[in-house]
Amino acid sequence: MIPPVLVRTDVVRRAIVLGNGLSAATVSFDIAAQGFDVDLLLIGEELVEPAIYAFQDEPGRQDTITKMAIIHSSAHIRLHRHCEILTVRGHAGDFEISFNEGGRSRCVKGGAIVLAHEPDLVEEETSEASVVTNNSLRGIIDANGTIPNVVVFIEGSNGKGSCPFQSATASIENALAIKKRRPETQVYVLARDVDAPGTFERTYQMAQRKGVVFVRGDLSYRLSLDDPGSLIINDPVIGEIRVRPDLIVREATFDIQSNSHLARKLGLRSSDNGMVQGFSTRLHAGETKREGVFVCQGLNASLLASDNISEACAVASSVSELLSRSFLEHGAEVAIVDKEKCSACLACVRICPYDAPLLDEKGKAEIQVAICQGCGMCVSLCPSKAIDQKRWTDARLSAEIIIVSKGEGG
Amino acid sequence: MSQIKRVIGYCCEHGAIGAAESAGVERRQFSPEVLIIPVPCVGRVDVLHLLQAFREGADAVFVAGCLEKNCHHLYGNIEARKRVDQVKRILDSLGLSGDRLELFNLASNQGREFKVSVDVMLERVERLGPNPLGVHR
Repeated sequence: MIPPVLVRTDVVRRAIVLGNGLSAATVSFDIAAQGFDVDLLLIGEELVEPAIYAFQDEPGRQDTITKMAIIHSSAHIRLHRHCEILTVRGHAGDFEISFNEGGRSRCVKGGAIVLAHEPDLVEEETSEASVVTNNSLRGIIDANGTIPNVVVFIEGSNGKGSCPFQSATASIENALAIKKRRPETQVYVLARDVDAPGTFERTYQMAQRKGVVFVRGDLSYRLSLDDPGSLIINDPVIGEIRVRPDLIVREATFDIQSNSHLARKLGLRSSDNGMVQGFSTRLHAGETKREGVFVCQGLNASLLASDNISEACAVASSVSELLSRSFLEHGAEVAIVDKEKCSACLACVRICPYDAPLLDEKGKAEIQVAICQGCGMCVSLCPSKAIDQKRWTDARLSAEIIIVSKGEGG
Repeated sequence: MSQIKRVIGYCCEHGAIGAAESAGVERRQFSPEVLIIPVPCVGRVDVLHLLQAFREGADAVFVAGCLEKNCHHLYGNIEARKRVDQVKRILDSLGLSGDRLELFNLASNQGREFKVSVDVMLERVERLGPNPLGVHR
């Protein structure tokens, strides 16, 4: 095998943060604390605490609100207000964002971009009094309202259909609060996967000890036909559970439009529920499909401020790790165009998930080494066979087929 | 009459190779007649590579990528689906039967599903007989 020839690019040692609230403040503060300069592009006039957080006494929350107030006086953070993003160019280590700042067009450079925009809550009217969101339930509990006998939390469902990534933390907090107030209430939490980040595991355990029933699995539940008003829940372990809920708690609905609009500007794809496609928060905090662009999405739109703050801290450390390198190396597996053969059909430009191919001044395709992620889709599509890929060359794959076919029984 | 079958699997580095490894970790034995070629993404698999495998005498070929909507490279598995469908038609017109080729979507924890997919291909070879282009026998 041929050893890869790597291309080195310098890292601009500053970060660009887009956002409006707790996550943006935390990320900016933590990156600045590592000694890197931060350009904080505010969507509005000031940092505000979003209305989605319904829980008052959370660890770290008050601390972050203090940070938001003193962010102006930080020597490392430069604030830009009323920003409208125009274009984003460049690659990991060297991005350039041009934007409108209250009418004037500006341009900032940075080695990494963080999208830390918290979505707004959409308050909708529910026609059924027996169906509430986690936020309004919190209001009922805080105001010492009446708590019915049977409460069922359904995770991953909101007014607009299923929302499979949402975190269960708010439901667990509420379920525990109900059990503390009125232990005789039966509480069920239907969740695909209980996400208990950090010390939240303790709250989850306490909820289980207090008698909250967690039903995991594929959220299959149906209404009973012979007994109207009762719900049949299918638990993968203990089988069918039949409950008669007095109150059903569902997820809150977020305004995902603004979020997915910003994500598109950054060249990220968001799924139907507004979540940016990325990697697991635990494995690669905040990393997205585009190298050097990070995203804080509050452990997938959690209603707890502490979830968002802890995620933002993790993202800040990912960013600092990138910025503390003096150079980046690219190109171990990239696709390369043979310009003699290229017929400039633009097939590679259209298919690339990362927008790496461009046409050069001679009208031939050129793949930008720093952006290419080495998936090889353009290589197999190219009708002129003008593209080959380092490491996964056509010759290698052909040779493997021949060797494998001639082998004796594996 | 039991002949050695030859099944070639293109597995993507992110999902299906992990599935094959999971199958190993879970001690699920699959036939040594199945040979795996890793690819960076199933979108890398060319029509030519698929046809070459049959020309070299493979009895069946499968392409295994990430789960749909969960592709590491966003939509490589969708592209692969298009190519696999195209080659299936070519195989049908050649009289080799498009059933000799299949695309599977596997996540890296799906060792059991990997074994099932492999068995599907072996069962199809059993039904369709050896590849008439097989030169190695």
